[in-house]
Amino acid sequence: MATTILEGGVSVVGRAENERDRAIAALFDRHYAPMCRLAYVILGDAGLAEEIVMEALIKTFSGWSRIRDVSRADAYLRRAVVNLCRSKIRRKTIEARVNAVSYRRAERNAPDWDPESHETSRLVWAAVRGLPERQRACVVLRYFEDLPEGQIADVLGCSVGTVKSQLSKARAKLEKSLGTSVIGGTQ
Amino acid sequence: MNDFERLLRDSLRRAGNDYSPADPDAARERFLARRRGRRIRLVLSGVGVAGATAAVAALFFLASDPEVPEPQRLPPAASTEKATVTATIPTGDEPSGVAAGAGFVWVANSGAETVSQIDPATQQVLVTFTVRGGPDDVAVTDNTVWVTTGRGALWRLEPGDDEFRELPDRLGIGGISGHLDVAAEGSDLFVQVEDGPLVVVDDSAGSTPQRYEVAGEATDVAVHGDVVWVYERSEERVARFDRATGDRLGATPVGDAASQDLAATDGYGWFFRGSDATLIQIRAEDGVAVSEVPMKGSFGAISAGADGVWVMTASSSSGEGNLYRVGSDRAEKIDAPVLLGGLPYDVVATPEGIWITNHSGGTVTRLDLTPIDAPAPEQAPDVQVLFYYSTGEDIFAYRTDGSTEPVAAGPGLEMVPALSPSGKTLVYQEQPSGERSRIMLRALEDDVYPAGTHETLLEGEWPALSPTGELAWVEPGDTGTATTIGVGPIASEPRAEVEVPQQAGVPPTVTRLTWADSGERLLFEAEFEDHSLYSVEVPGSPDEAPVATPLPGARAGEVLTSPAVHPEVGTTAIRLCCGSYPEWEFTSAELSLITDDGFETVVGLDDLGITPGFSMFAAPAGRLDYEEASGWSNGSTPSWFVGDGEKLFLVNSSREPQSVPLAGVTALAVVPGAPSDD
Repeated sequence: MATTILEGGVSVVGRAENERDRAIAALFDRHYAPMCRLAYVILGDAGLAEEIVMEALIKTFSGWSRIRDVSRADAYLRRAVVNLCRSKIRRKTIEARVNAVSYRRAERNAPDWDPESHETSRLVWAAVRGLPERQRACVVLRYFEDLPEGQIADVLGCSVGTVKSQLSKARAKLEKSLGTSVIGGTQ
Repeated sequence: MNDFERLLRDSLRRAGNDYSPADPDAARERFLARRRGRRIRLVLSGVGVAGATAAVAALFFLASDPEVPEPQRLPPAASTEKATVTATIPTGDEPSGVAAGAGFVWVANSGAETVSQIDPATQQVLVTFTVRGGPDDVAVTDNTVWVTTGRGALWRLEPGDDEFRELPDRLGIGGISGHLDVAAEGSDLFVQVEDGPLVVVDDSAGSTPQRYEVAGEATDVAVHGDVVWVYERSEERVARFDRATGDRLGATPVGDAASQDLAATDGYGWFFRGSDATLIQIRAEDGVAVSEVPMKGSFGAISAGADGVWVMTASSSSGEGNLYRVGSDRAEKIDAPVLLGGLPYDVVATPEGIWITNHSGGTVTRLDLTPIDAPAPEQAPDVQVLFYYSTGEDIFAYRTDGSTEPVAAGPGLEMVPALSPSGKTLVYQEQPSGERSRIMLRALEDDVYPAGTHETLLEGEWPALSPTGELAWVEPGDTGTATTIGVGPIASEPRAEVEVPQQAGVPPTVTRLTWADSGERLLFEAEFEDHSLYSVEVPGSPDEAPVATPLPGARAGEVLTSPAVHPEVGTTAIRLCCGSYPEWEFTSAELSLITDDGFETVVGLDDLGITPGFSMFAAPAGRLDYEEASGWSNGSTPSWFVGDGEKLFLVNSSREPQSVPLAGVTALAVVPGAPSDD
């Protein structure tokens, strides 16, 4: 049987739980929108992004007592979000094909490439979503989250060499698929 | 960051900024509610997962792919052995067929109209028998030596006989004279009458020959075990028959041959197609052509050996011969060309050597195989170079004086240096911009490869060289996820391929491939959502499929990474603690020896100032020792380089880790024997 310790007539355990709930709610408020954006940029599906972030939050903060370094909560959460996104991509090959088809269709009708235009951004983002899951995650973490390669390796649970290799492959594929020569001589 | 990278960044940020999640307040309430109820749901979802797993397994079982695969193209690799002519024995004019049996080698001399009986021990012709009509092929059953002639006759020599006797009616085969092809196993002699029937004769029973119903114009026969193989020339196919019943099992298209030969081994038939000098391997079980081996030459003969077949090919113009050894998934060209004494005509492999008849030379040549002299590992190529390292973008040589020089520093990424056992050949991974990763070879010395050799070997990643110089690599995947490991001699197609197990239907990414000291076992790291280390016994026999098995698992909360084999110590890994997917919250790391019973700590890595994580690696460093003041030396304790892609240390179990003044090292290969004692 658990022992309830009273302090000034208030259960210490209960107080701790309330404090933890408040802390977790605060963490949710701080991280929910940025993590949803991260997942959305990786997946291109708002509903799925929010579903995944919810799952990541549950996973991460259900192990709250195991997280020693609270200041790194965002790192744990980002890792969970990215890995859930990668799992989702791997399991949704049909969706990936649809993305690829829509991208190719867009490419055929591509307007003039203007780095400032929404249309160019949309096509670049579509091309990123056509990458294999690990390369896609590397690109988004590098260019959307602006993480250095060491932190990307930490998030993905791989070596820095793997990150460099994946980023290189991804850039090569994107340059090829987008056609750098028509992107205003961007090389 | 260049313009293209800026475009990427701006496009992705625009995509992110254009979106806001719907109703965060409602989401927070759902989150808090779900968090409180998670325990209950976990139990329920556990049932769901179990059900789903069973369903997936059932679907996988039902959806197994019945399609026949294309034959694997298997270009022969250079063998590590060379053929040496150990005897050249005159036998008579135009030696043609050769066979081994009853303790002797038998040669049919077509022009001389004789058959030579050779003692392989003394390499002397013991007896020369007369066989009229141009003897051209020979086969040996348990009790009889059989010879066919160009006129379509069949002769036999039985125990106690002092001469060959012609069978007047070709053992009841009948028909008009025509070429006979013979194959023997046990007491059975199989005779394929050109464009006629196939018959089998039991040399002990003397019974009426059994006939097989072949289709079309058949010319060649081979037998092994339960299966008889026949080439049906007019149909351009190889047919299989049940040896016991004579029932036709099926046929495999092999194309127009022009000239051909046929052999059989355990589980396979082998067809040499002379039109393009290609050896085709056909599986007995289902008739699938599983591999094709392209060869040089315009004429060929096959002999079944212990673990595959020997193929001799020749150019009819030069009389130069080539010798190949082919297993079920490995093809080697024996140090070639084998210069023989005349047009090579037929071949037989025996425990006492490889025997080849020289049709225009009147001789039979015996070849024995000897290893090509391998450079001794202790002959360090350049004692000034201690190791080669990659920063993830370029590869450098590191010298004893602390200087470095670029070895591979192209515009792409050069990574993962690996050295041959002699230290004279460097292989590494190169990722050119816009292309797939490939494995490169660079000769550091000139006695193995021609001076200045620097060439592309094949597409792949994570090269590793075994103690015998065999290459293993991770084959490129179609989707950017590499999940297959190839193994084979340098410059060959894989002789073995390892499929890495999936987890819940998800393929891993294979990294950090390394050989065990024996050269018979591979270790690698598989990155799933979690990480796992695997061991693979690479089979010597082509009939054995390599299987990846997980290394003994770490305790709950621990993760093993960076497998390595120190020749003096054994298999090690970096043991990270403690965490689990997705919250790898590692706070400690140690280099551990993997034993049958678990782990032994070699050295703790917590004091290096490195955050424990998957970027850490440990590379064996022989007994290298280092001190900032006195530099590099040979120490008394096995050592390792440990890094995290940023800092690098030399560690061993007897002293404090030494910081090495190099930054950004992601992989490293130590020159064997370095530094020199001289």
